[in-house]
Amino acid sequence: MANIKRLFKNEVTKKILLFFNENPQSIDTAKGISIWVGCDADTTQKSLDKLVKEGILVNHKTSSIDAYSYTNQKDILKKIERHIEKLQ
Amino acid sequence: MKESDKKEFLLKFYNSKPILLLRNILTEIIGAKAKWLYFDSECNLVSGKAKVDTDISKILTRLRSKPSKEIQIFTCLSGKMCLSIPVTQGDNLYGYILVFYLKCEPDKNHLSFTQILIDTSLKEFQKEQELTKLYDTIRPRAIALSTIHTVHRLLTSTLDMDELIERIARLTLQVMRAKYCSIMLLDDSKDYLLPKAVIDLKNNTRGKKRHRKIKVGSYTEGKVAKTGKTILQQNLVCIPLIEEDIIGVLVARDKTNKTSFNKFDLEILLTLAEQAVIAIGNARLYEEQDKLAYGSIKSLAALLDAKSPNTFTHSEQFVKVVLAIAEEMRLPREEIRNLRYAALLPDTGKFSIPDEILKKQGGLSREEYNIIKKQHLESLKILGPLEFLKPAVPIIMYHHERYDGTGYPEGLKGQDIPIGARIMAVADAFEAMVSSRPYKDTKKSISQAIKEIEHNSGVQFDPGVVNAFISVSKKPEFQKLY
Repeated sequence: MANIKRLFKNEVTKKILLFFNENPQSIDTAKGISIWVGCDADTTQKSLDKLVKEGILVNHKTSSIDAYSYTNQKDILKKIERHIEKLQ
Repeated sequence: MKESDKKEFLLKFYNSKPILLLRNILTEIIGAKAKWLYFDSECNLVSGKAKVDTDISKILTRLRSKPSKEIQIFTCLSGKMCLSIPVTQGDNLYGYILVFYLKCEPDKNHLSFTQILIDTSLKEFQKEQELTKLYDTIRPRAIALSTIHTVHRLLTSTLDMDELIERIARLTLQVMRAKYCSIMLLDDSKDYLLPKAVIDLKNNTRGKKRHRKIKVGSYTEGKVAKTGKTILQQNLVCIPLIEEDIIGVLVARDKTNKTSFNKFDLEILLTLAEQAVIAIGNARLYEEQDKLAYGSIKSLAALLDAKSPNTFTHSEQFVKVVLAIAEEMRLPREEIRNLRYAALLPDTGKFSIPDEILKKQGGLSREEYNIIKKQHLESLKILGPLEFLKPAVPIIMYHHERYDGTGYPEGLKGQDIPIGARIMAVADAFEAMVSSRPYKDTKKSISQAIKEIEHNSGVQFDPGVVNAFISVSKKPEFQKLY
């Protein structure tokens, strides 16, 4: 299971997690997500890769496009939600 | 503005930073014990704790009967002063800020400054509120639009029907945040819906039941397929897939967060379905074209085989081995399709090579080898006019190249040889070793042929392809072939 607390320590990763928590239906490219979270594309890409590795995001990879969406795993989603509640 | 919105707006404004700043500044002038109360235009209290005493009641009655857009100073019964600051914008009166029990009377400059600060703050606050409202309205729609655009790009990036349908189902699950999605397409008779992709995250028995074909008109899916009308329920949304006629249905069930499906979900799913239908149409066209192309290549192979059996074409096992290696190496589907075409006509390059050289037993002279190299390229010109075969021609052309660069026709080396050709070289050598040919004395056993291939890894063959071939050879499907 991903260490959510550690992930939230990185500012860009935190913004991505907040974005997907608020917009769980979203599927977008790294470039698109970098616009929504207001961070540069390279840093966003690194955080996205990390989140995919942790099983928090799903990578939809085809020959022409690489897109990301939120996991459907209930336990991970709950853990993130709880952490966000604590932040507020 | 609605009354409730008006009250919320005023409450936010009275608690905004500029008003708090004004309060701090005026407190310095008029005294710390002054009592601040905030009212709407009807003189109803919006913010602040107030025990309505005679003084307050008197002033409120006066403001109610004679609303004022100017700052006013009242004298209370106790003799102390009260300040009424109207919150106005043009002709609109939003409310009043009443400050009771002033220590001293503020001078005209302070009053003008207060009025200007209120006006400017209100203008800025209104702008900020409008921007926030716009942001809150537009941002989710922009994110949804971006999602739809991404979905469109994901769907149009494949023409393989199975891959596409599976992808539509996965994307539907993501976009709908649902636990279950199924895509059913009508069969040729248009009487039944056939399940093409079912993803059930819960993996329960109800899910399995729904994997069966459904008669048009029965169950939710069948009803939607019959009527073409969308069904939106708390835990289900089922929509028809319409090209010109209905071609199938898409179903999403059970939200992951246990909420109900709503109209926004339906709107998104309908847009996704429109994209899906276009992609399915394209994939169907592509499938039809592929069938036509494959049929034409098979006819050409049959013609060549009739001229000289087993000379220009290989066995069905050969095609299966070629494709199995490609699958094992996870080649892109487009590459696999080209390999499938090439594997039907592997030795078209022999077409204009004289029979005496083709069927010669034993080694070839340098001159004969040169003829083979020259005629190999010459023969492949017969495939030139077939546009759909163009990507397959390099596979056929270079499958006699060797990994160490000593093959023909061009002596290409290593990764310069197209991957399809490197795969076909291994399968071709294996086929040659295990099959009997009239011009060949002996044939090898399967294990001997595999050892020979392994032995030539990195010399004649690409080591990566050899590894994939070895993995394939251990599978039961391969053992059934030979």
